[in-house]
Amino acid sequence: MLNDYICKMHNLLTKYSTEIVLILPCRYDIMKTTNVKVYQYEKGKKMYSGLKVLLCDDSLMIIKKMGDVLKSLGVSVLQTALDGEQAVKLFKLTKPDVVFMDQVMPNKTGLEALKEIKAYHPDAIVFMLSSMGTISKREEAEKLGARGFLQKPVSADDVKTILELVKAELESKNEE
Amino acid sequence: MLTQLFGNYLLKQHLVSPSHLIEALRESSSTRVKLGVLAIDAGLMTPEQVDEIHELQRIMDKRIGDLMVEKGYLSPEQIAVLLKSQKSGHLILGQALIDNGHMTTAQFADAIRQFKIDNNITDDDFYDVKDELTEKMLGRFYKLNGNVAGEEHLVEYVSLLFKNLIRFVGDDFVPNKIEKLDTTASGAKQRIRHGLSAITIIDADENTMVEFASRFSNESLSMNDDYTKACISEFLNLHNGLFAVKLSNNEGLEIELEPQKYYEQMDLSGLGNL
Repeated sequence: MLNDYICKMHNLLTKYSTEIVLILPCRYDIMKTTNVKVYQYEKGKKMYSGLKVLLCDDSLMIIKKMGDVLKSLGVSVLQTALDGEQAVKLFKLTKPDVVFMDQVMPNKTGLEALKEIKAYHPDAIVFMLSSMGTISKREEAEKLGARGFLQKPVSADDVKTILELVKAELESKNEE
Repeated sequence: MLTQLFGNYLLKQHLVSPSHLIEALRESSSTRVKLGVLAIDAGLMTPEQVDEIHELQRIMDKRIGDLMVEKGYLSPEQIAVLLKSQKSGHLILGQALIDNGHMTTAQFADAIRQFKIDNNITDDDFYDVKDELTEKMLGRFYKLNGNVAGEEHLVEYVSLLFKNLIRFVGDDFVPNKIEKLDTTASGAKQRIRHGLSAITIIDADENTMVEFASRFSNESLSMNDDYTKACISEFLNLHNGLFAVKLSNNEGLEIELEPQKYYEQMDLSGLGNL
C-alpha cells in the first residue's frame, strides 16, 4: 500500500518537475481516502525549491503547522510520517535532503528512528524536534548523529535558518 | 497567576458569577486600573473615600489624583508609588468588574483584603510578583494528604501548566481545587514515567475543547474533529515536554513521556486515590 503510494508520488513528481510540493499522509487508515495534494507555487516564492523534506511527528497539528511553514518557504517535496517506523521506511524510499524528527512517537521513538536512519545513511541530515529539550536528550541525539535540536514551539524563523544551512551545504557538496 | 487565583476566590465567595468573571478577564487587556482601586489595594484609602472622590470628579472636572491630594487622602509621592502597580493582573480584574457594574468599590475592598489574609500575602509580595510567590500560593491551594507518590512535584507541575495556559491559550481561566475525577473521562492523555510516574489528562466539554484548540492552533476550528483533538493532545505533549526540561534543569530528574493520545472514553477507576 505504502509503496504504491510512493510510486504514485514519484510519477507525479517527475511529471510536474520541482515546482510541486506533495503532502503525503502516511497513516494507513487515512491513505485509502486521501488523494495526493498538489501545491503549485508562484515564481519568486520558491526559496527552497529543490529541497526534499521529511517531517516526522505523531501530532497532526505539528504536521499541519510545520507543513504550512515548509510549504510557504517553497520546499519541493514534503513527506510526512506519523510514527518512527514510517519515518525510517520513508527515508529509505525517498532519501530526503533533511529530516525533522519528533522525539516522542509511537512504534519507534524519534531517537530510535534517528539511529536507524544514520546506520542506513551516515550522511543523513536529521534535526530533532521536541518539547522535551533536556540536556540529556540533546546529548543523546547529538551522540546518535542528529544535526541539531529544535525546542518546541518551533518558529518559522528556526525552520528557515535550518533550510538555509541545508541548502548551502548541498550546494557546496555539488560544487565539489 | 495572582489574577486567576483572585478570580477563583471571587467565584468561591459567590461575589461574581462565572460569566461575569470570564467577561472581565477577557476585557482586562483594555482595562486601566484607576487610582481608587490602587489606593484601596494598598490600604491607603477606604472605599467610601474612593466613592467620594469619584463623585467629586463627576462635578469638578479635575484629575482624580489632584482631588485625592486636595482632600488630603494621599500625598503626590504615594500616588507615584501606586501608579507603579497599575499593571497588576488581579487589580485589572477588579477594575474590570467594577467598571462593568458587577461589583461595588466596597465589595472589591472587602474581597481584596480577605483574599490577602486568606493567602497570607503581604503588600510587598504584590509589588514583587515572582515565581516564588506563585508557587507559595499554589502550594496552599493544591494540598494533598502527603501519601501520593510524586506529590512534591504537583505544585511545580501546576504552576508551569498555568504559565503555559496563559502563554499559549489565554489568561481567562480560574483554577479549581483538586477533586477526584469520575471513573471515566474523554480527552488527551499522556503518561509520564521513569523519574516520576503520572498520568496526565485534559478533559473538557466539546465547546471548551474547540475553543481551546482554536486558540492554541491560532485557527478557527468549528467542531470536535481529529484536528481539534490533535491540537489538544499536542498542548499536553508540549506542556509535559517543557515540564521535563524544568525538572531536568532544576533537580536533575529525568523523566520519559509516552506518545500522547486522544481517547473518547478512558477508564480511570484504576487510578490511585488522592
